[in-house]
Amino acid sequence: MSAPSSLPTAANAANAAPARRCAGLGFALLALGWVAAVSGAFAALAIYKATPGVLAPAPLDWPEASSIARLPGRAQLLCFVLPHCPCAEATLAELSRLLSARPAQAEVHVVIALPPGVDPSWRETAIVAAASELPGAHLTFDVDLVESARFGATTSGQVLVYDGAGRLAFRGGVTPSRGHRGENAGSDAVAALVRGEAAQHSVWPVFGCELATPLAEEAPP
Amino acid sequence: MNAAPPAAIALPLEPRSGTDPTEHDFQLDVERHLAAQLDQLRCRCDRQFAWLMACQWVIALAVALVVSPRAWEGATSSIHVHVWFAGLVGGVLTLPVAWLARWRPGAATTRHAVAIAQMLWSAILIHLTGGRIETHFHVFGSIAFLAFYRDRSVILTATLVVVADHLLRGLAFPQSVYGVPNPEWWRFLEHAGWVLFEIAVLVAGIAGAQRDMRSLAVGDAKLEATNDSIERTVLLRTRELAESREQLRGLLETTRAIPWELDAGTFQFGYVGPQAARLLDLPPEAWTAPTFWQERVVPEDRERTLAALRRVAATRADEEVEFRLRCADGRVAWVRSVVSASEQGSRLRGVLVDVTERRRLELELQQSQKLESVGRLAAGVAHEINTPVQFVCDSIHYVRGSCDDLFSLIARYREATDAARAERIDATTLRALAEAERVADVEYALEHVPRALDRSLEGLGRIATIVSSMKEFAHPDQREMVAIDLNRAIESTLAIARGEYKYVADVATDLGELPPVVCHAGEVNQVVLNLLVNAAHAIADAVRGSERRGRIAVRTRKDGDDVVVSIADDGAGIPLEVRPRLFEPFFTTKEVGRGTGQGLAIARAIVVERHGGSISFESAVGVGTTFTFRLPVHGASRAAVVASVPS
Repeated sequence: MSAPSSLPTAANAANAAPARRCAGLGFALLALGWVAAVSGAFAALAIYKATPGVLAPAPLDWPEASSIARLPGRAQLLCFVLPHCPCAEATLAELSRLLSARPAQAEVHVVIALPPGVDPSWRETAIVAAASELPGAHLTFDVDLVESARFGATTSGQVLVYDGAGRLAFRGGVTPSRGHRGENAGSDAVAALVRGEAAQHSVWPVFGCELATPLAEEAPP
Repeated sequence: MNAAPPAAIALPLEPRSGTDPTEHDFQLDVERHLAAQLDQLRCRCDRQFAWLMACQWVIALAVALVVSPRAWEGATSSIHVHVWFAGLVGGVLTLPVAWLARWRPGAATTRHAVAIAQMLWSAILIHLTGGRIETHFHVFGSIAFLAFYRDRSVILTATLVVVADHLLRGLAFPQSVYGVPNPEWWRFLEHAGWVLFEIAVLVAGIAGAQRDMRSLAVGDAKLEATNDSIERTVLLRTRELAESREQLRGLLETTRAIPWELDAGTFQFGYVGPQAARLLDLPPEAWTAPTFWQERVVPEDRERTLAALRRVAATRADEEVEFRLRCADGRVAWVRSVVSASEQGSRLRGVLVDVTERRRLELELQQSQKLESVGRLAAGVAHEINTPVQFVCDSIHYVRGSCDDLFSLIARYREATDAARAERIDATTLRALAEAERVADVEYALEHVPRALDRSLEGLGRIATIVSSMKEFAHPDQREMVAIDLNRAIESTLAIARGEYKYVADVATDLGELPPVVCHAGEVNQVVLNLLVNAAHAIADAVRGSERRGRIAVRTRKDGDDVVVSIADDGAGIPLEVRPRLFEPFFTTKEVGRGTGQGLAIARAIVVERHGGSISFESAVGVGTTFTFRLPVHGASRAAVVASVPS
């Protein structure tokens, strides 16, 4: 007479142990897979955010053809942003922070890059509004990326600082990664330059969307 | 589902050396309560984190769609990596945790998965919000929330995730974390410092919370132990109560005594012990029926018994009742009960006993005692009858002889008369006539024959009196009481008992005017006889060896609705030590053959129980004793008047 199947028997117990081991192993594999997937995703995100945009060479001297007037004897800061680029928000936030910390001795220009064929709404985005609120900043709408091309700017968020003699003092970004605010050597360098101090870096990677301007040969700083 | 046992706070589960088993059991109970509390808490946290992750997923998607919906290249755009990341990675983080919280709540793997996912959610949100400093507080908030698990290992897991994120990204992309391309090696510690600070605070808080939970568990264990103790006590008391009730039920329902309770207003029985059906052959419905008293109680006893019940209800003084019940088979059963009233007097209770057999034995005993009395009196009565019989016989013999002489004389006279009519009378005839007169002694006969007849009549009258007294004394017992002349009954008893006292005492009667007394005549005669015999015996003991004669005084009088009979003697008196036992059955101080010890017991039973009267005595050693009994004139209620025994 066999025991009812619902009752625990030695055979059932012997069968149950491997089943439990299999279940445990399966669960562990799933957990490992989950950890691997999540780690991979985060690694990909980190790579994406840490990958800088193209930093094209900028004119070492203030281009005479520029429609933005050069002010002799006074440092000038140019920031190129694409009106819809979400990364630019972090750039403008960093500029706002460093410009608010101490009154700038440099004149600040925010160049709103308007690629060819864009509609007028590009002039009224949140980025444009944020740029207009920067302390002492002048907005310049760069229709068809003319000025961007003159200054060799290819990536949204790119900052150029020219000293009072019209010589290029800094080129690059002011964020530590793409669309990510926070202290970094780029913003520290820009902050020092606009205060009339020496900067430790003259070049810093720029993180942002492409301005769709044809790339130019990067010139050494 | 709780697949894994909750991690209990480390405690010495094994009893320490010298720890008694009770203390060890208590510690185990504390651990059990603590583990249960933690399990409940952690399951709740798992569910809350599952919901939190779902909310974070929605919020992350919303933030991505609002802040960075698209990535641009000039005038062209595509969906931003943030949107994909929030949607896909957010789901990868949320769904497994939700599954674990649903199917493995409370498990260690679940909360560690929660810790990992939650800290990664902090990273996602920081990325999506462009590294806003405000979003970094999500890290601290998450760690604080994770502390709700009261599990330091979860905090450690969360910390490792934060440190690993900073460490790995710092190694791979240092400028993205620290803002410089070549940071010092310890910079990740600088970033993780605040996290570590918070963790230190939280770990201390967790330790405090664990202490609080342990205190709570100790309280719960004590409460449970108290409850267990109370439950055990309740069970014990309940069992004892059940046993006690069973004992009481056995006592009440399995003995021959029948407990009962009735309404003092309607006299309807509310409860009668089940043995009533067996003992009295009356079904329970007969007892509880409203017509019980009409149908089952013998009519002669009904009003008397109900009156006793009313008195108990009114006075709340216990009383004994004895009455007859008509059983289902027509048999009549005598029952006796002590009646008590409840505190409010609304219920009457008692214990009923079937005394039919006792009554039968009592009647037999009374009868035998009466026969004993008759037997003892027989010699005296025979003597009393023999004396008149003798002189009646002598007188009759004398009259008989005188009659022969007178009849012979009459024959001579007739012969002389016939001779005279024939004118043939002569001297011879006259001489013969004179001789006949001389022989007949006519003068003497004329004087003494009437006297002899008178003596005969007197003797016959005395015999008739004795016979009548015997007849009255031996009055057959009647079921019903009848009205009698008590004085006449006493005189009859005195007549037949004369043989007991005439040699030692004189009897003085003072019989007052009495109304007819309703009683059992034969039984009352028995009482008087027993008291007279006792008085005669007491006097005989006192006058033995002397010439003195004692005196028995019999007195009757009416006192209200009662008649009082007292029989006093000037005998030896009753010693103090025997007085309390005087009315006990079979108690006697007389020598063997002179008394059975039943006289006073039966007298008391007759007076008190059969007639509702009372009997008492007064005695002084060396002076004499007076017994007094009191009977209701109308033979009315059977109020249980207990014989008083004065000192």
